[in-house]
Amino acid sequence: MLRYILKRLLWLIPILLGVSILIFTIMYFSTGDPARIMLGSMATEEQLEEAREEMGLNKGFVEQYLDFLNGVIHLDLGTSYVSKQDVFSEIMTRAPYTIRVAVISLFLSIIIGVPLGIVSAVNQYSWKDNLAMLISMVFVSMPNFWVAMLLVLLFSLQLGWLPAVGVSSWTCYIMPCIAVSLAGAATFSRQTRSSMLEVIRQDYIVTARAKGVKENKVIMKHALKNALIPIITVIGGRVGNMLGGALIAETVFSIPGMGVYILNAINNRDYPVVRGTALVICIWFSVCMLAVDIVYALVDPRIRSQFARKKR
Amino acid sequence: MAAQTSTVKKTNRTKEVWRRLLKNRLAVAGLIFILFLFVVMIFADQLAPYGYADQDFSATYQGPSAAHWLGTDHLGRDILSRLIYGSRVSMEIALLSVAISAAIGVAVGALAGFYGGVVDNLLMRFLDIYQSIPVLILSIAIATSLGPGVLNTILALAISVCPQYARMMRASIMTVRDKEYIEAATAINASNARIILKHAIPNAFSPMIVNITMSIGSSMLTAATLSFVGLGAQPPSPEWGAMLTAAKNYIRDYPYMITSPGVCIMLSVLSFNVLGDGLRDALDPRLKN
Repeated sequence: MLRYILKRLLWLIPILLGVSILIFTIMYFSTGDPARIMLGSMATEEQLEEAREEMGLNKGFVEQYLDFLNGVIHLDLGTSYVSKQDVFSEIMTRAPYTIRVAVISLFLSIIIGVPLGIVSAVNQYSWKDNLAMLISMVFVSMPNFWVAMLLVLLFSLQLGWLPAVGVSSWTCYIMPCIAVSLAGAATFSRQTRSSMLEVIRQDYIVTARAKGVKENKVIMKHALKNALIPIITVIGGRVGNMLGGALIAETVFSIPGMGVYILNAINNRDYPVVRGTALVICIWFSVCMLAVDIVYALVDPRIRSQFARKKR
Repeated sequence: MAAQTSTVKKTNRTKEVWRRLLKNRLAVAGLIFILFLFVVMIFADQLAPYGYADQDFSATYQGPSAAHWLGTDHLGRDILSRLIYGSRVSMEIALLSVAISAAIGVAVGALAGFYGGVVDNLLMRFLDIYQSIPVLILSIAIATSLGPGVLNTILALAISVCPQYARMMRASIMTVRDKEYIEAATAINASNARIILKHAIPNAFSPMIVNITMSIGSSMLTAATLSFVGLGAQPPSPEWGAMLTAAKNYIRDYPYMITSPGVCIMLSVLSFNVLGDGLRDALDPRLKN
């Protein structure tokens, strides 16, 4: 088990290197001259040249990438063209908000989605199943910023129950988290239903019932445990969407997280900020995927035993 | 003789799939809505009561009325007409981005799956890296780099999504690679190109159909989100996501402005999703239990 975790951790290094190359390359080819963006249209050619020299923009692609990578290793993601502030420290002050929204949303969608899927599978083709699946389908099909707007419309503007913007109290997080989690909950309920249905007709379930195990126990212990692997895969795959969703929801609810940061940076063509924020999100995402792989091994003895066998 | 049997069998299968699909009421509803969208797209000029950029400053912020069924926006533009023209932009982005990414993905995946070996291995590792970047973040990065606009949105979406297709096509090709008919084609000295194009891809394609249908929906959502963050289609383009984004500022006083574009996006995405679901069940009835 430890060997497996270690192996996966080591594999993270080339992945992150590759991700940094990809992101750097994409942003390297962006239109517009950074020196011009930084100094404005009034700058003279000498000033521009000086700024380019200072920012290392006259160096070749590889050299620039190595500079960037060197910075990343030393937790330096460059400075913003616009605010002239350090990108890394800015991200660090904003990250907690984004992580909070993403993590709460993920849990919320698991808590809503998985039980809903189980109920659907157990009552296949009943009105409960049809209703749950129709609602899931609708939620998957809504842009989450639109869901966020509708929530604001209903709960803030019409009913006045919840604050529409800010982070002054915990109630401010209710709507953003719901907006982000609905699509996830819908995906999870659909996946749970289909993988439960696959398991529920297996012989060992019939056996468990035949020997008089209580129905609840059959479902929760025998069926769900075996249906869990594809569900975990989908949950892992959704982490990226949750982070993306959190970025978007933040902008609707004016939460001072990374979403507002990257959004302003996009509008200002503030490339170091876009690049740095994207990189940090990718690192989180990769670490989450690593966690998912480890959870696989914990949940599924078959995967664990593969590594036990390899050891011999 | 052999060719004859195979064609007979093929039409039967297509018919069978159709028959099963048409039995699924939700999928049929989705299909009808998609056809309706195409009609709207094609006849937008005839259907729209006003032009999409026609401003009327004497009629701004009007709620739904006989003259403007869905009301007007902050510049007095008729929302219904904008939605009708917007179907062109939104569908263009969704369909083209999916077509491009599917073409790249299928080609790369088929080659990797068919030849295997070092190339396949390298490619898969590259895709591991590629897919460590969430689709939204990747398309934001690409669209930022390329600059805003419809064409760039299409490219950004296509580039971000194609690894999924490549992976799926590769897996699918690998399941047919060792089948007898491939062996038979090799035995009659068919070239690799012919085997891949005529035998391997057609037989490995059916899981892709479902995926392609579903991802038209998700492309629409990502495109709308790109518009929302200021990339994507630019004003005065009536792309639905851009309309929502513009309406955001008036949510307090004129909430009708955010409902109709959102409903359009939702219904379109929903239609592609239920159609994809229906196709999956129709192509592989075993899955339906």
